Order: sequence, then C-alpha cells, then structure tokens
Amino acid sequence: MNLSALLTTLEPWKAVLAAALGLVGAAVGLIGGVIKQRGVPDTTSPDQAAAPRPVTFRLHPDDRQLIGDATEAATDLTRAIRHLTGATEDNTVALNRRGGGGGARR
Amino acid sequence: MRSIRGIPTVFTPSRALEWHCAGTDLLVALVLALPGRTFSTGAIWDRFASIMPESDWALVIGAIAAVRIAALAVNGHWRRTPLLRALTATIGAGLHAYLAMLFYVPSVGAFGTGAAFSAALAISDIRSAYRAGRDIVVAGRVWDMMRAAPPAPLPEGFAP
Repeated sequence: MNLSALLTTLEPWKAVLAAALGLVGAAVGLIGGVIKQRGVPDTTSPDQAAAPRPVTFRLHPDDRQLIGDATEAATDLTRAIRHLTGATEDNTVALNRRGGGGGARR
Repeated sequence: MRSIRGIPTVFTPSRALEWHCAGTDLLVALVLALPGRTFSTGAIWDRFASIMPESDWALVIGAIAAVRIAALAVNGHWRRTPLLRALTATIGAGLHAYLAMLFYVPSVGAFGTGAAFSAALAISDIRSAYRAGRDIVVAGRVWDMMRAAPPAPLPEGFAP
C-alpha cells in the first residue's frame, strides 16, 4: 500500500486523528506543566521567602580622606580645649589666693 | 499571585489566552444557534452538516465554552479549578484540531481559512493546558499553606 492509498484510506478518519493528536498534545503539555512546576522551589510560604540583603554604604576614597581629616582635627581641637580649660582653672585658683577673688576694687 | 478578600489565589497572565479561546467558542456557538442556516452558506460546512445538525454543534461547543468560562470566573477560589481549566483546555485542543480538519472541502480539494483559525486555537489550548498544569501545583501549595495557617478574619465593614 503506497502513501496516497494510505491517505485515501485514512480520509474519513483524518479529523478524528487530528483530534486525538490535539488531545495527546494537550495532555502531554498538562503533565509537563505539573512536572515543571514541581521542580520550582515553593515560595508560597512566607518563612521560605529570601531574607533582604543588608544595606551597605561605600564611600568614595576622597570622602573617606575628608572624614579622616575632620576626625583628626576634632581630636586636636578637643585636646586644645582641655588644655585651655586646665589653664583657666589654674588662673582662677591663683587669683583667689591673691586677694579675695578680685573683690578689692570695691 | 494576587489576593482577593484576603485569600491568595492563582493568577497567571496566560489566562488571557484561555479567556480568548473560551470566548471564541462561545461566540461560534452563538452564531450557530442564531436563527438562519449557517451550514447552507457554502460547501465548507458540508462535512459539519454530515456529522450532526447545526443546533447540536452549537450545544456541544457552547457547553465546552460555558464550563471553561465558569472555571475561569471562579478564579482559584476552589482548589480543583486549575485541574478543571486544564481538562477543558485539553478538550478544547481536541475540539479545535478536529474542527481544523473538518474545514477541508473534498469537492474542491482545499482547506478553508477556518482550518488556520482552528489550528491556532488548538495550539493555544495546548499552551493553556501546560500553564494550567503548572497552576495545579501552585494552587495545591497555596491551599496547603492556607489550611496550615488560616488568615485572620477581616475587620467588620472592610471592603477590598
């Protein structure tokens, strides 16, 4: 039996065969979809959701240098203020010893 | 996935394709059910008429379309809806492939353009069955999660 004879024989059944092919194709698609989704991790549960990444800041090297200089200047300034505060206290004590804390003008 | 009334439901963009196929079937059934003899408009309908009357075609195609639209309208509120969608998409694929071959006119020895439309719908239904198959698994997981930890009742008077 050659091909054209086979097609002639199948003529009344072509629509049925096409329908069967469509059904089989869709069934394979359905099963394929189920199998595919089963391979995908379950993210429906909230405790399985990915934790957010911590936010980190990266400064430019010039800005880091500027902050370093400012910190150093603040340290020097603090030291100078302490020194001046100590000197002021010494002067106050010396003035009090000399005569009543400056009350002699009255 | 989106939430309706606090209940997570399954949503995929490919549902548009399912709505399209279901809507097309419903309109075809409507055209066949309307007064007048559609099958008398040309030789292309001879093979359809030889299988069953016009009103029966309208009933069969309309019933499949109605089930599909019902399954889509429920939209995941019932766990088996994706399975129903997958089954109706499978039946739709078979129906459209069948219709595509019926658009062959033996007396002329050529296909009508309806064959191309039906074949496109059959391919769309195969794709829809695949997407619905994936939704079956997702819906099962969502409903398991809901059963394990039911959502708190909504405040009185809350309207989403």
